[in-house]
Amino acid sequence: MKIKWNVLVLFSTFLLLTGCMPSKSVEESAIVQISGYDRGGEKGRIKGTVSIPQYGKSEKKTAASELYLTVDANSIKDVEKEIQKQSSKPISIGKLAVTLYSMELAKEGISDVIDVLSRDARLSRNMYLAVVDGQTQDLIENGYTQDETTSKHLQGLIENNVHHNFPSTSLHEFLYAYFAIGMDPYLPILSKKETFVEVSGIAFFDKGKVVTTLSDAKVFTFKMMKENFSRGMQDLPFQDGTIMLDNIGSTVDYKLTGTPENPGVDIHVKLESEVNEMVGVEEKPSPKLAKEMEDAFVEYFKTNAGEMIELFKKEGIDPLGLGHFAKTRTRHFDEKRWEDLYPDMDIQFTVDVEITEYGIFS
Amino acid sequence: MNKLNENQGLNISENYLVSPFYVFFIIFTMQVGIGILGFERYLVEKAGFDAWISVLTAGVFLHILVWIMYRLLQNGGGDIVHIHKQVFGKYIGGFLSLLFAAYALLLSFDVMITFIEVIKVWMFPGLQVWIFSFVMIGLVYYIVSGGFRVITGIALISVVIGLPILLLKFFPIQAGHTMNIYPNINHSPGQILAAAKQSALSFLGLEFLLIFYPFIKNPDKSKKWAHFAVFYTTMLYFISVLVTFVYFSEEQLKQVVWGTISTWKIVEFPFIERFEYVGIAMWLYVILPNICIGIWGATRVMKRIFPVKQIHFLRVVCISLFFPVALVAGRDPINAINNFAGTVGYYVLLYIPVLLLLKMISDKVRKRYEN
Repeated sequence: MKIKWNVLVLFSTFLLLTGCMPSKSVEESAIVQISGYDRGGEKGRIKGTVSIPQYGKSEKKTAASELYLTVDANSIKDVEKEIQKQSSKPISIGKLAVTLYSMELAKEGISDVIDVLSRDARLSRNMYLAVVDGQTQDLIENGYTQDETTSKHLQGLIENNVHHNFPSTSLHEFLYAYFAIGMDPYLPILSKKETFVEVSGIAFFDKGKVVTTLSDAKVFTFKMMKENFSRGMQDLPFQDGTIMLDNIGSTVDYKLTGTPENPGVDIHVKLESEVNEMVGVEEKPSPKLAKEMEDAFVEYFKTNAGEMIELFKKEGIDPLGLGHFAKTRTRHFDEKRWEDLYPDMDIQFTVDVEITEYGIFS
Repeated sequence: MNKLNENQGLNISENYLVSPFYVFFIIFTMQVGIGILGFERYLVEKAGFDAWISVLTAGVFLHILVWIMYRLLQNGGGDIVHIHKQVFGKYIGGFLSLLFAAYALLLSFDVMITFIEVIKVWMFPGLQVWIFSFVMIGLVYYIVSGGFRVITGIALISVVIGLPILLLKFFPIQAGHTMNIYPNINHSPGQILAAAKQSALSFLGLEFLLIFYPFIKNPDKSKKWAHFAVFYTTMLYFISVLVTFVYFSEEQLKQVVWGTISTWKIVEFPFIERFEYVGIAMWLYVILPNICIGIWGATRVMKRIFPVKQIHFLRVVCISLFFPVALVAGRDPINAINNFAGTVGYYVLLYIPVLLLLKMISDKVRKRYEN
């Protein structure tokens, strides 16, 4: 019987090990899923808004209801403390999925916020950050759909767009670019329309501050220069109508050119696509027309990319991470010199557009 | 419950021995412990993203060290206590062996406090350290009193349970920037060697071979398993380093205290939101044999020096470890102890070749004297 005692001791130790913590039940805590920060009334103060979904006690599925709390606080951590004062249940921030900042606040700089986000072990690295055109409080407190909470809705909104025209974004990617040498972060911009929210562009940061923005019409070109992807659409006026390009595979390649004293970068994009909409185009699809369309797109992307690169040079930001790229290809990379050279650097953009299909109707 | 071998000498009867194959698990599990959770940051501080070379360099040195240890043990025909006695005589040799035992205890202690800190920072800030360390040390006492074979079994389980965690590397690779590891050496050999020294600190553990060698059946056959273990550990560290390098940017990684746990943070399954909780909980199995082998080794050395039963030493050690483990808290003291243990370990590793040299000299002198 001796062996049985041993087994008992062994298992009871494991059980005992689990008993070292006070337990906390899910129903008993207020789970914050979205938080937004605006500038507070006085200078240096922050207005924080959170939404807490309320789950009914009955099993019947009811419309998602949420509780909105807004507080005026000194700092981000202080927001949590102040919200605790208004809540009947302990606040739990482990499921925070979306964090919003108003444009006003983002222009002043959100470095302090970044520190809190990167330090707290409870937060997910897959969380989405976004800049709001307007007040985050209005955006959060406006219910959008009947059966979804605001946080689920916004999370889905960003996630869906990241799979299409918008470049990928998450807390981790923001931090990566924020700390990296020769790379600057960016975040999507959300704006509230009458009854809905839309992703309306990209905000570019220099360290913690928003310095410039890009409208959603040009986002496709930016994503093309930033990463490989295989979805997304771009429209273009062509002849007397509009054509819509459906991306089925785009790859981007950076190359370091020039001498070490005077470096330059070549950005080359290969884009394979279909055209699925040709409104107002009289001609029948033919190899000749395809060639014309390809040229029109190449022209369009080139102008767009050129303008964008000029904008980045003017603002001294590098959201594409060209410096970061050059650092991995250069021995004894000099960050200072790169930054000095950057505004006048020779950055070439070339693109191959290949239109392979025109849909099932000709 | 006491199944510890009570034979004072080096002749250990066969029912206490383990197959040479198990040397792989013991060395591997001893090397992979708490260090792997956060060693990347220290490497990057020394040699930036060129530090992957340092890991490989350190691996090569460890292979040489394994070879040296087998030379030492085969000629010495026993364990470190025996060798010390031969080379330095009874008193100085005994004293050095006791220092070695103290070092083994230090490693166990270090693993325990660091793991408790990880739990506190990542999961439960309000952990009752008194209760937790009491139960943990109770478990360790229970395992160690089962003898070396039980410890080997735990080592085996630990390796098997720890393996699936490797699959998680897939997630950070997916989100990674592979251009970060473009081989573009920016650092001087000196810096890379400094990082190699730093990584050797997380590789500590194979020196326990000097204690458990007499417990291996056909020790000659175990050589290849020891080398396999070192190779496997090196590869594991190498992969971990590469994965964290593609996942973080260099400046970012310098601020991440626990690189590997941080890469678990993006692992998401439909049924579990935050995987690091599972990972850290499973890590208890990975560090358990570390603590056990450390304490077993220390008490074994003590027993070989003093004519007292090992179980008595074990009781004393467990009780005297409990209070410091429960009392030490906070990033700074724990970091200081980590660094101290690392430095001591580094000198222990350096001491082994010196010991071989002294042993060869003393053998020669003795031979001449006999003639």
